[in-house]
Amino acid sequence: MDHIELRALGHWFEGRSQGGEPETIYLFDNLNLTVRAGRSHAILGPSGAGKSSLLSLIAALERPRSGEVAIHLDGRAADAPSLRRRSGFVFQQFHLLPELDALGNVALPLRLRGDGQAREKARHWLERVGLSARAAHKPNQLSGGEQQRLAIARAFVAEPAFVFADEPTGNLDQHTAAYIGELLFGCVQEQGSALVLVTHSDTLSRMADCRYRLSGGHLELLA
Amino acid sequence: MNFLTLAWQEFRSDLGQADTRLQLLAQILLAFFLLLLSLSGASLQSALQQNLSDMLGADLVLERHRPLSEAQRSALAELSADLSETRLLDITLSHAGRHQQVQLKLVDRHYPLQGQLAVGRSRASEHESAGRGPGAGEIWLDTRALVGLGLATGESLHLGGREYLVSRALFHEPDRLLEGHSVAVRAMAALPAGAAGPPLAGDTRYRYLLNADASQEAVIVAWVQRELPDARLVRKRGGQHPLAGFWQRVENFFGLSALVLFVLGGVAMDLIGRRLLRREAYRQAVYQSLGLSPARGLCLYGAKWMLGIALSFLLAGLLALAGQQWVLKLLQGHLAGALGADIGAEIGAELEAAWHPGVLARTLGLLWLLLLCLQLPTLIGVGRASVLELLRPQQRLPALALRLAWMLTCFSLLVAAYSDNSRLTLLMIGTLLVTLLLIASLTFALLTLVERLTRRRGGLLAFCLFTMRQRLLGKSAQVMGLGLCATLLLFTFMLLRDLGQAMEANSRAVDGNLLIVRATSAQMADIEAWNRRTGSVLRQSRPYVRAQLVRINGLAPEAFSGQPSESLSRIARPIRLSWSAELPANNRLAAGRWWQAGDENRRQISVEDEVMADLGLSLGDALAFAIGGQLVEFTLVAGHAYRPGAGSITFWFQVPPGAVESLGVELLQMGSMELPQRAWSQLGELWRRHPGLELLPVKQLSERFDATLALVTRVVAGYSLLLGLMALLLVAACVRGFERDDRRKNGLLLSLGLRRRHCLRLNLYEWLITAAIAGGGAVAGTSLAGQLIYRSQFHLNYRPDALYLLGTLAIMAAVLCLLGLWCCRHSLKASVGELMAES
Ligand SMILES: Nc1ncnc2c1ncn2[C@@H]1O[C@H](COP(=O)(O)OP(=O)(O)O)[C@@H](O)[C@H]1O
Ligand SMILES: [Mg+2]
Repeated sequence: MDHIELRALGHWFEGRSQGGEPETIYLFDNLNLTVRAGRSHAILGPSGAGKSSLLSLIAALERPRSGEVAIHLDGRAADAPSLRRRSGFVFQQFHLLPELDALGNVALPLRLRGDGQAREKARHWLERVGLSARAAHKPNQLSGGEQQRLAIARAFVAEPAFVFADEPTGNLDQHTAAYIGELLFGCVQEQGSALVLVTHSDTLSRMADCRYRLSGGHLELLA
Repeated sequence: MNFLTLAWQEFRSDLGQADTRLQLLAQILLAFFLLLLSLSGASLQSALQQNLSDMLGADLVLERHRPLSEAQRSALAELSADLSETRLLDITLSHAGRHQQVQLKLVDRHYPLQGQLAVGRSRASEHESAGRGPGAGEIWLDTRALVGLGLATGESLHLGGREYLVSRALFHEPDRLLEGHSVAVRAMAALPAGAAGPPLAGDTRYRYLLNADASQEAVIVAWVQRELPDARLVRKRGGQHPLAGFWQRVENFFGLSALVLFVLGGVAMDLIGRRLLRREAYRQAVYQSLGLSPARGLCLYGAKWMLGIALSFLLAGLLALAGQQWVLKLLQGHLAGALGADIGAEIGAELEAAWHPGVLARTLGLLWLLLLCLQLPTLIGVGRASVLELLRPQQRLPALALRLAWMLTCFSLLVAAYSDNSRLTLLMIGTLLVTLLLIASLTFALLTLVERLTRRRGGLLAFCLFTMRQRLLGKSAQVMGLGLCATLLLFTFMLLRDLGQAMEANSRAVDGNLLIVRATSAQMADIEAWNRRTGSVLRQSRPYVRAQLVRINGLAPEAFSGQPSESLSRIARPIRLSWSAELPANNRLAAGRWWQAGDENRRQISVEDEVMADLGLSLGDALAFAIGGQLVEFTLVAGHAYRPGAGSITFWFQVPPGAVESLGVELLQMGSMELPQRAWSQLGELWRRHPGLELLPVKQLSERFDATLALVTRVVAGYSLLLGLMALLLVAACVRGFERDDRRKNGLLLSLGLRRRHCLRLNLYEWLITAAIAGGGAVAGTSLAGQLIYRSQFHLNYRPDALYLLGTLAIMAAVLCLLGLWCCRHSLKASVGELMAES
């Protein structure tokens, strides 16, 4: 079974204080977590606790200062680039490409992989998120909720094993946020992917299979 | 859909972006300039090479202004395989009331050694080739002389008391190359047998054509250097074309221009690159979040970049081919003017616009490498892009100072490869670096200090300083870019103006309408009698002897001065050495001390100021001249310069009266006359009696000069256009590159309740401060460059015109402020909501 295992993870940044002296910002040390395929994980916590940093470590975008991140794909140990090829991202700021229309944005991951059926698959996913009518629109012609739906379609179109989301509803109103949450979890279930979701919305986190809280450098499993 | 189609589509969509277009434009301009320069250069070089092998008429040519002694002549004949002796004199022929100045070539029976003469039975007849020159009592005239004198072949002509039969029209001689800068009309006659001196007085050049194999040639070269210091030797094998020196100086100038253009282009591309990189890194981060590996992402970017390069090279190549036609046409016209119609036409015919594939490949390859180097910071930035960017903002670019240093290194390598003048390159790069440092520290010091001082005070200016101080890094990039641009523009405009003025000074108004270039004392007496008869007036008259500068402090002049220059090429021929007890009224003392009453017999000399600078002379140097077969050494004690208002004739070299008069050589006069209209028709009388008398109507002189000036003006105009375009591009890049920051700031201010009017004023302050710092740096950099480069590279004295400098600077600053304000107004038109949404 595909999974990502964090063992005794420690992470910190070297910064400078106001006076200019070197100062170390400790996020956490000795953190353990396993992310399994087919399950959804929500990480809660106050702003500045290090949630985004943790997400980047799980997604193997960054190397931890101490500890280990073990990735297993198809029953074998795998490296960061192969994880990257099998994952999708949903960001708080959506991060769509402004020069491409909706269809182009969704088709992009497939085109980058050289998939000959990119357009058909993208069209299917546009329909799935309810945006077929806006296929030819540019991102700046869409509302925040619509842009985030587009971003979700883009994250799932290449059938990823893992989906990472950093506060995907942070910029949206409550009503839209709920809709986006349902969409996200629906897609995860349909695809059988693993989801790692960073949020501070209690409602959203309750939809996940397991909930964690990161604060004061500790990761605590919530019932 | 594969990778390349994706790159192509992205490239096409990027083409719609103003930044991409600006970058392409900068690339096109650079490629165009470089291609034009190398293609035209290659055409000219190959034409010169071709011309040298066709036009020298011998393996070696030795030229001197005195004949060889019998012993020297037979030694030379011994050393070479064949020898032919010719003489050249400038005389005036007259026939039936018409007169014509010609360059008469007297040739012996061995002439020509290589190649054939082209002659005709009449002016309009077919060219026939001839293996030898005219026989005794015959004279061949070129078509212009036949027309000018109203003669036809078969008629006879009086010359120096003898009758000559005009037997052929002369079309072409195989040794025309050495005639160099002359439009002279030509004539040819047989050299009188025997050692008897030439029958005609005049400035005579003695020329010996030699055939020799490589080993003989080496011996001859050594022998000439040892025995004949005042002779000039031109070689066909590996020899320098007499024009090559001229071309070298042109290349010097263009090397500098290339540096200037490239630095401007590089700074522009760097500024644009900031924005392009932001977009590209973002795109790469998104791609990576979608599963693209960083290596493939870089490939995608590389493919796009190559498409851009291909497009700009293609366009630049087409433009350069068109430009090359124009340049070559210009050169053909100039060569015809400067070298005489037929040699000019000869080289001109060989000057063909061509692709020169080797040159093209080398140039484009080099440019590609350079652009790649310039692209390096962006490539590194793109390579470093990662999904992390999307989670939190990152610093992407290497430090500004590092980028600038890297850029300057690339440029120096390029220019060093192009101009061969490493000293000039080093000086220029050094100046630019110092300027940059100055601007950077000025920005830092000024903003920090003034911000401190005004911190407690309210008001827009204080606030403006505060925001500028906050954005110090971004701001200094902008100020440095603009300062560099201003320095280069200011320096180039100053140099162009001063070069133009130096040329114009050459054409200083002659008082009188006829110049006496060369007259003996007897001829002078005749002229004065003629003047009384015709009502002409002698305006000015100065004595001189012909002297050849042979050694400076014991070294040959080329070895002493090192750098090629106008003066150096002039002193390869004998100069006019004049004398005067007192400083002439139209001169002023520029250095040292003029000789006093007691010094009159001393071997002292005063040299013209600019010539001194050209040759690198300083007071106390020993100058040895060959004067009429004697070697005379003078000590340099003074420098003089022309002062307008008291006659135009001034000499480069002047000595005390006693120093030359005692040598017993032929004394000559130079002067100017004013002829009334009716006297012109009687001029033939003088010339008939004195064929060696050299008189030059001033109109003719100014025509020659105007032709050169027109060429220079056109080239300068073309270059200025390129330079202006590049500067505009840079300013556009600068203003645009920071537009986003400004929009954001303006939006914020408007949302805080500030009026539009105040926003505009705030922006004006900001641009004024920017312009002031950049301008201050530019003035400092320009004067530094002037001090360093003027004298050593262009042989000009650096006398900055403060008014001109400040005026130019003010105009540039005003343009900058207007442009900045215009952009600001533009961005203020957008509503507050729109502005806020941007950030
Ligand atoms: N590159 C970095 N250098 C220094 N400090 C950083 C860096 N990235 C994040 N931080 C600090 O680490 C802490 C956690 O950041 P982040 O993971 O973004 O928190 P969260 O997402 O939980 O709000 C913050 O205090 C932030 O300032
Ligand atoms: Mg965060």
